[in-house]
Amino acid sequence: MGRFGFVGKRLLQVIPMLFGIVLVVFMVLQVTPGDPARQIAGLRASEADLDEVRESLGLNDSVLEQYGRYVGNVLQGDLGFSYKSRKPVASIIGDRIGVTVWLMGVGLLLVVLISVPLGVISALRKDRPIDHIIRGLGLLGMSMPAFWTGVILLLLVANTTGWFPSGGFGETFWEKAHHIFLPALTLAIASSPFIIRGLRAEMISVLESDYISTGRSIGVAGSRLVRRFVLRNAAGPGITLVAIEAGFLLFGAVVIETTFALPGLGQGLVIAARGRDLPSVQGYTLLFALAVVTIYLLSDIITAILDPRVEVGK
Amino acid sequence: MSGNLLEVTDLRVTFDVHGRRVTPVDGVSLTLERGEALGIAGESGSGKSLSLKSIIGLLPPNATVGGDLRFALDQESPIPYAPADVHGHGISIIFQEPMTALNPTMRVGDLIAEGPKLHKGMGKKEAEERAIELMRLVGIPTPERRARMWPHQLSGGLRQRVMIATALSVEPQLLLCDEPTTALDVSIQDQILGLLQELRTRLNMAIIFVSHDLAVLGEICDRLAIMYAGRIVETGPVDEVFADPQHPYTEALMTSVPSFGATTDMLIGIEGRPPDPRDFPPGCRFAPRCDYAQEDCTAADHHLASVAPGRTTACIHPELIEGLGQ
Repeated sequence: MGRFGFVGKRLLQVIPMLFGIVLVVFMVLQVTPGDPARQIAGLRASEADLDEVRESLGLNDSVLEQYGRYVGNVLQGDLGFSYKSRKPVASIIGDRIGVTVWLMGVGLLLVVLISVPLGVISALRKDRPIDHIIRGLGLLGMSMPAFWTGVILLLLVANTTGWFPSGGFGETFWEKAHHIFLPALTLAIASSPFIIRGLRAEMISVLESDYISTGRSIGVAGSRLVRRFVLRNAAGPGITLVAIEAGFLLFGAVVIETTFALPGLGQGLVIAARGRDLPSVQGYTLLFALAVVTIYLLSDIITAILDPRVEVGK
Repeated sequence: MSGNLLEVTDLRVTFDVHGRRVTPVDGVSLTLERGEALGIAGESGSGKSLSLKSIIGLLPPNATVGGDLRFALDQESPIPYAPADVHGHGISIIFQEPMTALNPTMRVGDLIAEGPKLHKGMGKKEAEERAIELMRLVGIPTPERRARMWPHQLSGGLRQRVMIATALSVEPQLLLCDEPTTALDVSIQDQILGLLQELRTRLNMAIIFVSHDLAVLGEICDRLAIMYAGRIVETGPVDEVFADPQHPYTEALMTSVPSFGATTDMLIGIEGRPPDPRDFPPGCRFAPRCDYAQEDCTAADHHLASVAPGRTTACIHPELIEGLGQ
C-alpha cells in the first residue's frame, strides 16, 4: 500500500522538523537581550532576589539542561508562565485559540468559495471578457493590504449598514459567525487572488492535456468533463497552493485581529511582543509553526489520496 | 451496406498567430469507404495530424476549420456534421502517447466504462462489465484485475490497449489513429498493429492511420495518401504507390526508408527542410527540394490529377520520375 507508506514516511519526516522548531523557539530566549529574572522580579529587586528567581527558573543550569527541560515541558503541554500575567502560557493560548480557529476556518472557507468557481470559470473562458474581469479583480485584491481592506470594510460596510459589528467576538455560534464574517472576508480578499491565479494556470494546463482530448473524443463534455477529468487533476496542486496560503493567512491573522479587535492568537502575539513577554511569544511562535507544519502535512496527505501517482514520486 | 463513410472536401485549418494567418492544412480532400483503411504519410509538420484532429474536432481553440466534412453514421450516404457531433458517435481516436492520453486520476476500467455509460445508457455495473469485455477484446490479460489499476501502473503497450478499448467503447465506425505505435517498442508496435488489423476485420471498422513510418502504413492500410506541406500530393492503393510512386516526394520518402532503398545500402535523405507553414513556396510546394523540378513547377496550381484507376498525383511532370530500382 504505497500511498499509505507515503503518508507514514511524511509523518516520520515531521518529527525531526518539530524538534528543530522547538530548538529555534528555545534559542529565541537565549539570544534575546535582557535578563528574564530581572523582568520577573522587577527593576528594584536585589541581587539575592534575582539569584533566587534564577535558581527557581533553572537559569543557572547549562543551556543543554535547560533545552532538555524545555523539550520535556513542551511535550507535556507546559509552555511556561507569562512574565506579565503569571498565568500558564498554555491556558492563555487556550483562551485565544478559538477566535483564530474561527477566523482561519471561515476565512479558508470563503477563500475556497471565492477562488474555486472564479478560477474554474477563468480557465474555461480563457482570454474572454469574463476571464479578464476576474484577473483584473484579482490584481486589485492582491494589491490591497489586509489592514487597509479591513478598515475599508469597517467604514463602508460595518459602519454604514450596521449589519456587522465592527469588532469583538461573541458567545453563541451565530454571534461568533456574525462577528467573524468581515475579518474572514478581509482575509479571503487578500488571499483569493493568489489561489485563483494558481488554479486557473493549473486548470489551463490540464485542459490542454491529451487525456482531455481522449475524454472529449468519447463524448464526455461540459460539467461531467470538468468533474471527472479536470478537477481531480487540478485539485492536487490547488490544495498545495491553499496550504501555502494558509501559512500566510496565519500571519495575516495578526494584522486582521488587531484591526477588528478580535481577542485571538494574533492579537495575543502582538500584546506579548510589545510587553517583551518572552514565554508567551515562544508559545505563540511554537503554535504557529506547529500549525503550518500540520497544514502542509494535511495537504500532502490529501494530495496523496487524490493523486494515485504520488507513490511513484515518493 | 457499402459506399462512402467519410467525405472530406477542401479541408483547411487556419491559425491566427500574432495577427498572421497560418494555414498548415491547405485544401485536403479525401474519401473513405466503409471498413476501408487509409494511411496518411508525411513528415512532421505536413499537417497530417491536424487533418486527423479536425475530422473529430479536437483542434486547439485558436484554430479555424474550413471546408466540408460529411460522415455517414446511420445513413446510407454521408451528411454534413459539426465535429462535436461525432464525439462518442461513430468516430473515435487513439493518440501517439499512451502515457499522456489516459486520465491519470481515473482507474482504467472507469475510463473505458465512460462511453457505455454515456451513450449506451448502461448502469454502473453493466458498464463495468462491458469495460472488462472490451479489455479482453483488445488482449489485456486478467482484465478484472487490471480494470482496477491506474494508468501509471500499466506498461506502454497495455496503456495503448486501454486507449484502444476506450476508443472502441463507443462502437465507432471509423477509428482515427494518430501515430499510435510511434512511442512504443518495436515488438509492442507489431502487437498493436496486429491488434488493430484484427479489430478492423472483426468489427468492420474503417481506419485512418497517420504515420511517418511507411512500413507501418504498408502493413495496415489499403490505400495511401501522401501529404506534403499541408496538401495531399499523391493517393493510390498501397502496393501500387510503393511499387511505382507518381510523385517525387513519395519517391524521396521511400528512398529515405532503409527497407525501400532498393539499389544501394545507402540511406538517401531528402535535401532541405520541410517548408514553414508561415511561408510556403509558390506553385508546387515540393519544387525547391525536388530533383526533377522544371521551370513551370513553381507556377503550377495544386491539382490532384488521375494517372491510373484509383491513383492521383499532384505532380505535373510524373513522367520524369525514374522510379525505384532503375
